Amino acid sequence: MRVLVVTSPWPTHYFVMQPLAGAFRAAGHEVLIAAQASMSDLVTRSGLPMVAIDGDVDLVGIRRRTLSRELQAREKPAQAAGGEGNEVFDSWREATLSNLDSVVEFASAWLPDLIVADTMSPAGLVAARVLGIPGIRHLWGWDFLGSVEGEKLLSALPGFYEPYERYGLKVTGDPATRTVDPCPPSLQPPGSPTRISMQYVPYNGPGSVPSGLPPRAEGRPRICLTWGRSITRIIGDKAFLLPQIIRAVDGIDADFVVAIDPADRDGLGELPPNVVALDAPPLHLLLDTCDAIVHQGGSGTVYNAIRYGLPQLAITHMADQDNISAALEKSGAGIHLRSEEATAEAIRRAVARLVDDSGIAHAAARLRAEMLSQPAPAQVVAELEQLAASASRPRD
Amino acid sequence: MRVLFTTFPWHSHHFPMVPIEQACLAAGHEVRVASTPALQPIAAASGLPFVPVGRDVNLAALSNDRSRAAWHRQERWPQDWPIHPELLNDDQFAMIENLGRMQAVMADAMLDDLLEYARAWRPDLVVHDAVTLAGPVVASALGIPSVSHLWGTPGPQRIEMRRFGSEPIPEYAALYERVGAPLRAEPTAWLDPCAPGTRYEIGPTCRQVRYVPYNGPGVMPLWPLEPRRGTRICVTWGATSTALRGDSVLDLVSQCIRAATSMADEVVVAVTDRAVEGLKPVLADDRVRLATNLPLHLFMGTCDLVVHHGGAGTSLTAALAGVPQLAITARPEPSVNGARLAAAGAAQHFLTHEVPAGEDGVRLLRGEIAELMGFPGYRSAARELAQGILAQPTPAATVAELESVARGGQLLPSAVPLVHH
Repeated sequence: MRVLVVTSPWPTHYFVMQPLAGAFRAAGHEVLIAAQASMSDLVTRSGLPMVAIDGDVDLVGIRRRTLSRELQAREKPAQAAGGEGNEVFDSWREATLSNLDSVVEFASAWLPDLIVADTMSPAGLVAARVLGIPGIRHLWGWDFLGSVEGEKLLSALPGFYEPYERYGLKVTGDPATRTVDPCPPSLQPPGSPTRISMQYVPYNGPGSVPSGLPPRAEGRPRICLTWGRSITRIIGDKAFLLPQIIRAVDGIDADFVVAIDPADRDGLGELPPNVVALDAPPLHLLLDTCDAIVHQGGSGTVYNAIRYGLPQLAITHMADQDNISAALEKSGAGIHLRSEEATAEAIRRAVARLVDDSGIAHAAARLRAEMLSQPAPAQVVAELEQLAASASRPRD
Repeated sequence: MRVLFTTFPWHSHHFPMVPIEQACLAAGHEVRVASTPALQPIAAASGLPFVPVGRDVNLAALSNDRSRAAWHRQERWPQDWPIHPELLNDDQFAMIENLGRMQAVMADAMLDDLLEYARAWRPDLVVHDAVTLAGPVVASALGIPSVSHLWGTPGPQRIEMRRFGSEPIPEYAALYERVGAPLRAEPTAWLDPCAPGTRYEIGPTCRQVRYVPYNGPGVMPLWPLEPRRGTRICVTWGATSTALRGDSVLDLVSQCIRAATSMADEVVVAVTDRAVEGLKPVLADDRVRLATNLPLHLFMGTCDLVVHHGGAGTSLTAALAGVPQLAITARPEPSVNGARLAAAGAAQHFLTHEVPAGEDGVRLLRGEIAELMGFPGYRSAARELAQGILAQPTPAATVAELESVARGGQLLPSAVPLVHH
């Protein structure tokens, strides 16, 4: 069959969907990734062919604009959810629906049997409704869409069904046929019956196993330090905490590997002898040689670390980072510090616990086992094949 | 499980393995793809985790050195030679062993690093391109199973064994001696992505796997979805033949394009950027649509005929799309592809020197194109090839075979009797 995967111009959203797209290909299906042209280098270098969809959305720019409201919502989430004139939701529509007609038009020409769309690509779900085929929402990280709570919230959002009405469709409830969720279930709110749990398989962009890593010293832990780029692009340099983290861990008896974009390398200054910086390799290719990790709380980073059973310290700035990191801390597999709590002393104590506290290590191993027991993308493909086969599909 | 894939750094041997590599990832397994640094950009662009090992070897120069140059201009070899080596003469065997020595040089350049990486990473299984000889050596050194993956040309192509027999050529045996590992004369199992209608029987340790095209990265244009102007022919010349033979193939490609433009309403020319330069005069025809860096499978199904150099990837992509083919080949290996497609009734096959230079050659090609487009038997034979491919287990389904090999050194019991064509 034909599978159209619609991705927003947010690299981490695409990365988390790439394994399912690859799984469809490995099962012999035709797959196309629909994305705006700015994504073409990133998508075509992931082993899958792309079709360019109109639109040139600057997601970072939009989030910068709504930053103050987002940070306000971080403090008072109840107040921010729903409600009229919700600036964040309006921006969300701006960010996600500019490609609506273009996605529907291409889907109507290519005639896929199934559409997968990330959370920020509702146009894919509209196109699926237009064609009468299953539309699958693919979560990118911690996200309550696909939960009982999330379904209620969606239908209450003003204007949520407008894009469907535009195509003469009357839709109620959750427009997605299923929601694929790569998060270990114990970290998520209870799922709705349409949620499909899928094992997270790491894809972190093209690259090679890191070279230039010093050999591991016997009995000495190796800790990865990394910092996502999105957070500094949205908030600015003050959210780039690696230099503080490196200073805070000075004197801890461990080796540190900083996975860093070459452009940010100079910002680190001179490094102590037990710290090496690497031009960021695909994260998972580094993590399978590490014992613990300190990061910014991005969902993709958290999933990578879970996959390799690593104790983690997440230092967060935004609500989405808070959510996954709080859930992680609750599981016992990690420590969560909000940026305002992250004093040098707090960071130092937390990192020391990552390597000394066997409770964290055990919880991390448990979480890894939970992740590995989730159905692999190949199994999810089999389930979605059945769904597509049973859907009545009007053609010509 | 952990699966270490390896190939020598050549895209036409890496591409056919991409789907089974994707399938292993999709099943939740850990995967690494190892080759010399030259494959890095190609492997990374295919979405797979790459491990650079060893040093690059100039394969084009090795392939064209004086002792091997004749490989590129051979008369027709005996029919079905890959499974009837007794039909080959001493010169032909000498040439095959020469290729075996070339691959031993390549393996020698990869071996130390590959072994070191494998010892550290501890794979459960090695899957190697069939002529990537460092693969079985490393598997033997680690005492783990190895699976030989064919690249789409029919037959086992055991260039490392004297006269395709059970005795290794000395250069291959020397690789085992160097690392102190016992010779592995047979892989634990084989995977064969050939079309059932063109493949040769390999034996009970071989599983057929459905060919899934990976033809490199690309953005799909919209024209394949639009109504056609009329008949459409694709002329494509593989990156391998242009890389190995440089501009010497361009005269032939020009003849093909000229013949095609005189016979079809539209001719899609899919060649490398480098070839475009040399083809400029014939590309000016307004029936020509240039398609550089466009994966063939994204438009192959919209063509009535494809004219090509006999590469395995092109042959199989066209076969899967059910499109008749005109293959014009130089080396004995692509000639096997062309001959098998012709034997299946889905193609006509010529050797490059059978196409005369200039107008005479264009006339001959025009006649063949008329035959292939005019007689519906080619199209139905091509569709049969496609159905045969689609009936095979997918790469996703084949992962269970690899798991079985990794676990107990054996394939799953074969439930379905092998179909012979």
